[in-house]
Amino acid sequence: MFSYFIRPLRQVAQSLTGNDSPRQLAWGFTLGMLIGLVPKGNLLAVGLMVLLLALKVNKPAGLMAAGVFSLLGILLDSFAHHIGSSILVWEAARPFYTQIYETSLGPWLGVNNTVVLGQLIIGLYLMYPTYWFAQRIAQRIQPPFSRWLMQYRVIRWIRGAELGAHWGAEI
Amino acid sequence: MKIIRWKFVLPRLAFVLLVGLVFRFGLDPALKWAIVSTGQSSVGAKVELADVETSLRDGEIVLRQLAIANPRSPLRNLMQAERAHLFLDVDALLHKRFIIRDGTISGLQFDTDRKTSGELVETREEENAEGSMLSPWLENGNQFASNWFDELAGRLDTDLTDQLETPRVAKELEERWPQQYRDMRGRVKEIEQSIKELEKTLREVRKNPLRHIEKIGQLQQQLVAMQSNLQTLQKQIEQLPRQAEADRQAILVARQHDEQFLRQKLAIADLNGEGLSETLLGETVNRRLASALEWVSWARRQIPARGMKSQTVRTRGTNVIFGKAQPRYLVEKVQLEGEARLGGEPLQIVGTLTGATSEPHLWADPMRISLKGSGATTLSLVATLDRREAVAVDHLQFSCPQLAMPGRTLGNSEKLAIEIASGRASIEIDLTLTENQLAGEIVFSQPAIHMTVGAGSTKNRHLAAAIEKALASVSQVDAQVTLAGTISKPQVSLHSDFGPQLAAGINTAVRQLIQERGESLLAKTQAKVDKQLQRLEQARQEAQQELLAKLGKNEQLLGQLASISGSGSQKISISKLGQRFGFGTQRK
Repeated sequence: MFSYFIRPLRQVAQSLTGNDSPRQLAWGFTLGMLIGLVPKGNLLAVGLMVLLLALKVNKPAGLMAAGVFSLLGILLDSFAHHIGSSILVWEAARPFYTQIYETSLGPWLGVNNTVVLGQLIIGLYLMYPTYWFAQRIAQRIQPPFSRWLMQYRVIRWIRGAELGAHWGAEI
Repeated sequence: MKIIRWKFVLPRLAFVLLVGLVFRFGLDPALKWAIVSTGQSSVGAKVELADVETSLRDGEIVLRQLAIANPRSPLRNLMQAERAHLFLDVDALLHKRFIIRDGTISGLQFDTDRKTSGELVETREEENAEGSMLSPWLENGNQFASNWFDELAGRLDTDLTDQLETPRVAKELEERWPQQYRDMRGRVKEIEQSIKELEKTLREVRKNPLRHIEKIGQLQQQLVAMQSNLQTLQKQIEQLPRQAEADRQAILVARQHDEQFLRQKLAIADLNGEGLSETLLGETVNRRLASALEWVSWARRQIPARGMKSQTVRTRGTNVIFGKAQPRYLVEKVQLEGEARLGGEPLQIVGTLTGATSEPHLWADPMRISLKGSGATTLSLVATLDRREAVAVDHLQFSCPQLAMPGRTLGNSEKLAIEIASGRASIEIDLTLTENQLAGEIVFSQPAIHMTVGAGSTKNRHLAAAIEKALASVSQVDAQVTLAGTISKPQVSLHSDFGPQLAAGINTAVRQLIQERGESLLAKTQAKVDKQLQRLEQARQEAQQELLAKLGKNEQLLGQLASISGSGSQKISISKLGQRFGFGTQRK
């Protein structure tokens, strides 16, 4: 039971001490970026969150990125609105949008909102660069940072607890 | 290798189960909270709801014991319902729209008592120093008739006896005549004494004429002077009947003057029937109409207008609506069942509410409330609130052919009030509000009406009796109130045959009363004056007899003296004097 309470701390330590691969960290960060940019309160944001939690990616990195990009996303709202507007008023795609909108839960998806759609487009566009940079940075800073952190007893204890949990030990 | 990793699956399953349980058991309290808080913020008074039961699978919501407090009267409910069974459109709910397709609200009651205050925040109601919005109209209406009655009562109450000419003239005569007689008696007495003194002197002279020879001439002169005085007095007494006749003529002139004076003083313009209608019906119409219009204004403020954005959570960006735009909140049709009280009588009411929506311009039909009442009487109410176009148009039709009318007092109880006994009346209301422009009429009719003058409304019992007589001639009240202007400044005109009918009766009765009063006053005065004159005439005759008798004696004495003095040629004839006075005739 106690492991559930210290699990977030374990995951932070895990992400920083290189227990997860740089790929997992980069994917977590990228998904977090996407979640952060998209305004909340719609099924799209909920779906992305479920995806982050369900996939075997680095969740602390994802949550951290979601927090950071939520703030940055607001600065991009105006630009996102332009993108979303120009896509949503595209006459050729109107029947498609109407079909989506009229499906059950269609309006809850949020894709008929100019900013939601614009931020989703921006996020999708930034996915690969974000992943690429995140992976490179993870590869470069994870080993020295891990060594530095492992000097601290509390980190070693948390990592031990994580390893124990990994091996099936209950704390 | 395990097919199912229970360690992975179980926590997630538990999470999903938890979410499901929260949704299942948390939805009803959440909905209850939402209904209460939304209701309170829109009504401005407490909204109470005992229980909410939701079945999303069947799309049903059941609300129990719903009570909405009256924002204007905290200890009364605007309405309450025992049960509301509503059928939702689940598909619309998945499309973020709350549509009530059908339903029944039962146990509906209006204007019921509350045990606790329904005020949200204790607010002190600002006193409206300006009065109701219809006050100016009412005051104008009241003014004329009230003034008329005040003036009439004032004139009837004023004692005009003091201002009449006849009693004044009679009084003057009453003072003048006795004084005149007293003067004459005094002069007769003086003559008598002078004669006695002359007689005494004459006797002395006769005893010794030679000694008093020089006095004889003097005595003869005195005798002549006395005879002259006696003649003058005789002439004056002779004038008395003529003077009495002249005074009688003066009294006749005074009476004519008095008749004219009374006509002027008691004359009053005819009572205006329209003014009387406004005086008597105005207050009742004003009170009810002002209250009704305030409620209409309040209800209009609660209904969303076209173009008014519903209060939603501020979102980023713009939501583009695809497909046909439809209202977010809509009540397509709800059956209404309940009870109401009208004129103090309970009624069973049934009806429907249709087309109530947050975005009226997106719905084909306007909002309509249709109610029918049955029981002691019947009623029909259709209210159409149309916000589909830019200009809001509301239409209200109300009809009750047998409305119980409790006994009531019309008019001002301090000036003129008429008490109407309880009965039944028919009332028809047809009202249209186009934006703020008001147009419509109220038609009221109460047959078989029984009216009496309100106790204490007029202190003049003659006037009260006259009005009572006029009231007996009115058997029906029909009134038509025409409304125009704006809802904040309505222009009201009241047309009723009640006022003219009553005014005609009052005018006739009052004219008769005034005539009777004038005649009675004159007759009373005349009787008094006649009595005075009779008394004076009697006094005159007595005085005349007395004076003539005394003068007769004096004349005899004077005759004797004249014979003594030897001046026979200057003898005064008493019989002639009596004839000149007409004494013999008077004595009869």
